[in-house]
Order: sequence, then structure tokens, then C-alpha cells
Amino acid sequence: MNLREQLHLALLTGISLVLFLVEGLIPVPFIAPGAKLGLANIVTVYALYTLPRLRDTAWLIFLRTLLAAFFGGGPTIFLFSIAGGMLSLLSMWLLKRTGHFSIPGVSAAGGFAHHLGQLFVAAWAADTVNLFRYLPVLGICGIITGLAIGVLAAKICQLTAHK
Amino acid sequence: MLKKADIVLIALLICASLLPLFVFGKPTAAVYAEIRQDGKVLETIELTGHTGSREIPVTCKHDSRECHNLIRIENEKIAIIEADCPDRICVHTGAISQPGEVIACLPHKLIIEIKEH
Repeated sequence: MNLREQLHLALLTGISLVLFLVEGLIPVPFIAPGAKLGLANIVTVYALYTLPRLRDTAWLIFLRTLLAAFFGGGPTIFLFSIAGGMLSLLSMWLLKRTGHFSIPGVSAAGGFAHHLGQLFVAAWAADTVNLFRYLPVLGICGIITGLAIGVLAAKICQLTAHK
Repeated sequence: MLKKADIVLIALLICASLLPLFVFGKPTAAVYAEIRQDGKVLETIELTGHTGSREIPVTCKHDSRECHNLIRIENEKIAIIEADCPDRICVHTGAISQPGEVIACLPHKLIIEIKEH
């Protein structure tokens, strides 16, 4: 990674963290434990489609999640977010590679995978598979927010494409 | 913007989301609530036929500071009504009463699970 790429990654991490913190200030109705908009993932999806390597985006997620934990999440939240984030990234990357899906479609799968990853860690931490009973609500929330995030990310990719 | 493949993908994801509904089914026997902290059972409370209300404070040591949760049982429902964890997801989860339902305060390693006999 050269200096230019490092700076780009640092900027994206910063933007992503700000989006994460801003989202915390917006009051949203409580739907299910762990469900949220995930505005910071606009940057994740954008990075997946514009950065040259998968590991660049993995770094972005890791750094943002780590910093978010310092800003008031704590170690438990970090564990959930990193599991969700990485499973989400992996599934989006695989789907993107097939070339059959558009950005919103890939992002919807990412939203779903994010909740699935979190539920796996939660079920492991709480030692009960019963937490998967939240999957119908959480999974569908993830698909909807993922779609919306994907539409925004696609728009941003389109607007920045000529640069 | 969405391609045909996207629609198929989303339909599959929705089906995957709904899978637990079929796996877990709908049980009917008498139920009790099990309160666990750090894997140890603190208390079990019969919920079926429970009347009146009762509050149980739970404290724990976490990163060398005290942490608190207040559990409330009202008739056949149980909820965490107060907590000083950072996300307060346990409080937002609300009252539960059906077998298999879980309230988890993961920062405090506190789990309430409804089980059937």
C-alpha cells in the first residue's frame, strides 16, 4: 500500500466513523435488538467497488469498528460488529465477483450477512440457539437497509467514476 | 437499477430469514424463565400461572466496576426494565413470555431465557 492509498483509506475510515457517530444521534424506532440503518456501510460498499484489493476494505471495516468501540461501544459490541462486518464483506465480495448482481443487490445480501454474523456471535456468547428467532425480523431489516445503502453507494460510485 | 438476478437473490435471502420460523415451531407447555449470568443459573422463575409483580436486581463486576440490571416479572411476562450497560438493548427488547424468547444483556453477560418443562 503506497502513501496515496494509505491516505485514501484513512479518509474513508474517517468518513465512515463520522457517519457511524452521526447515526447514533438520529433517534430511530426500536425494531429488534441490533437493527439499525448502518449508514457507515455506505463507505464500506463504496470501498468494495473502488479500492483495488479486498484487504483494503477489510482494513477499513476493522479500523472503523475498532475506533467505534472506543467511542462508546466497548469490547462486546466490537466483537459483534467485527463478526457482522467481516461476514458481510466476504459475502458481498463473493457476489460481486460473480458479476451477476448490481450494487444494491450485493449490498442487500451484505446487510443480511451482517445480522447473520452478529447472531452467530450472540448465540455463541449467550450459549443459546434461540437468538436465531430474531432472524426473520433482523434478516429482513438487513435486506431493506442494505438495499437503501446500496442505492446510495451506487449513486456515489457513479458520481465519482470520472475521477 | 435492480437486475433479475438481484430480485432472485433478495427472494432467497427473505426465505433464509424466515427459516427459523419453521425450525423452531410453536411450543405450548408450561414455561419458566431462567436467569443466567456468565453461564451460571442465578434463578429460575415459574411464569405460567404467575400473578402479581416482583423485581429482581442483579449486579456484577465488569472491568472492575459495578454493573446493574433490574429485572421485573409482571404476571406471566419478564423484562429488564433498568440497565447501565452502554447499548441498553436488553431494556429495549421489552417483555417476553414465549418459550425460546431471550433477553440478552451481553455486556453484562446476563441472559434471560424462557424455557418449557
